[in-house]
Amino acid sequence: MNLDQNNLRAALRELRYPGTDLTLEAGEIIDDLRVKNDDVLIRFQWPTPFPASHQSVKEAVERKLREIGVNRTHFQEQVEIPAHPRQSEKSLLPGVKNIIAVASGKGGVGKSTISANLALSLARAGASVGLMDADVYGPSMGLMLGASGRPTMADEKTLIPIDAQGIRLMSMAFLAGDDTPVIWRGPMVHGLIQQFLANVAWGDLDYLVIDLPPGTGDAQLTLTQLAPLSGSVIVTTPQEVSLIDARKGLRMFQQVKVPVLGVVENMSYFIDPGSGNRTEIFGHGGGRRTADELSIPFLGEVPIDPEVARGGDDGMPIVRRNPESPAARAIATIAEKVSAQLAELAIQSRGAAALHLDWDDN
Amino acid sequence: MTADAKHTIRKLEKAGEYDLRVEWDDGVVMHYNTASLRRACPCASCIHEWTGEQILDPLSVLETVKPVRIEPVGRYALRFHWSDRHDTGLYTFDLLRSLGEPESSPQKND
Repeated sequence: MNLDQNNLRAALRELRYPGTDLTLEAGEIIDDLRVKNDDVLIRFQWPTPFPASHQSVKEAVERKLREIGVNRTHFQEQVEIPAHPRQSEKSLLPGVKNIIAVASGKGGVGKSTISANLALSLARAGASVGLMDADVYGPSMGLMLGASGRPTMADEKTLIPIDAQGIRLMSMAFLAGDDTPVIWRGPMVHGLIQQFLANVAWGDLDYLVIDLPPGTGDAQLTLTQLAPLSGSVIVTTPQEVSLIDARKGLRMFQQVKVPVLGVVENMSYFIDPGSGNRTEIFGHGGGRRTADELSIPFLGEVPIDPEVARGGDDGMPIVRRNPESPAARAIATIAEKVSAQLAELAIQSRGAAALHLDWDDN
Repeated sequence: MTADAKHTIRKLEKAGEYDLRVEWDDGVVMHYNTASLRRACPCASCIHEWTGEQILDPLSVLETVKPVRIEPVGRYALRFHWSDRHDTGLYTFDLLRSLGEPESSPQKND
């Protein structure tokens, strides 16, 4: 068979990037493809940082090419996380490519734990990640990540986030102290959040994870309106009462037109470390049911693991403390799905970013 | 995947000095008179947030109002910067879809 660009590309046309509907072509994942005699050189530009996704694409490409008689393939690769199209050039967070809000309809479902571990999973995969603890009522991220320092000022009004285990962290607690309750009225919350968004020197980030306060009130609405959110993740537990509130969270995001990336079911089941028996303490599967009902993706279930709680208390979250534990692996998988969906959204809306029109230039 | 706007805009074009042409993702083409579009501004200073009453006096908008610049907001809306310096209105795709005049299919006289 005569090898040229076209029949090579045709052979690869059907392949999709894991976790997305993006073909390698439409996603611009194959950045370059060259043929020299019997050798094929492909340069990949990966839209998510997770090596397992890259590996599965490379294997699929090799398989396809072998089918058409190519046995000598060479790969070059680099990770280039696509940026969500900014609301405008005057965006509050110009260097941040993707902003993920982690929300829950009610408190106590482990939203902050999921946020911290989600941010760390993305960072472990090699992305540059920031974490903003916007839980104005009960900021706890400093404790969870074992960061007790105070942010320094770059100038009169700009705060520099703290480096905590490889991610840039900014928390209300840094300003108020971990055990001082923060009592804010609506307008103060608004001002505070605005300041948080505008006056923190995040620098260049692939992902900024925002840990929202629980509920669907003032603070949440302000954030969803001020920050150009790329997508949101809703954390719930399997109980019905929690699911009802998760639905409220979902509706809030739908109203402000923030795509909901999916639902995470936390505290899904418990595996007895002694016997290995699985107990579904709060029932099970409600997260998936809710996601199906509302036709949004189900991102995964995270088991109850005493180590998760311990990790939160001693400042060493589970994905670092014990990355091979079922809970850590579950969160890493969720992070992978989240990054894949964000990449898909960013790439698909490249067209929308072209909707600029200067009237008198035409 | 998400319950977003049902239709998205594929292309914006200036069809005349006061005529905006919009191509939708399903192939539908619509036209908008710029002054009418300005009068339909959905922002909080033109439409009362609670009652939905129009605050903007439509007669105060001149027929010669036109956009200076149009830019996308996320994947769901457009922001218009108008020649009367008004720029707070976010026109969602849903709203634009409901306001447009479908382009009549070209008459063939041969």
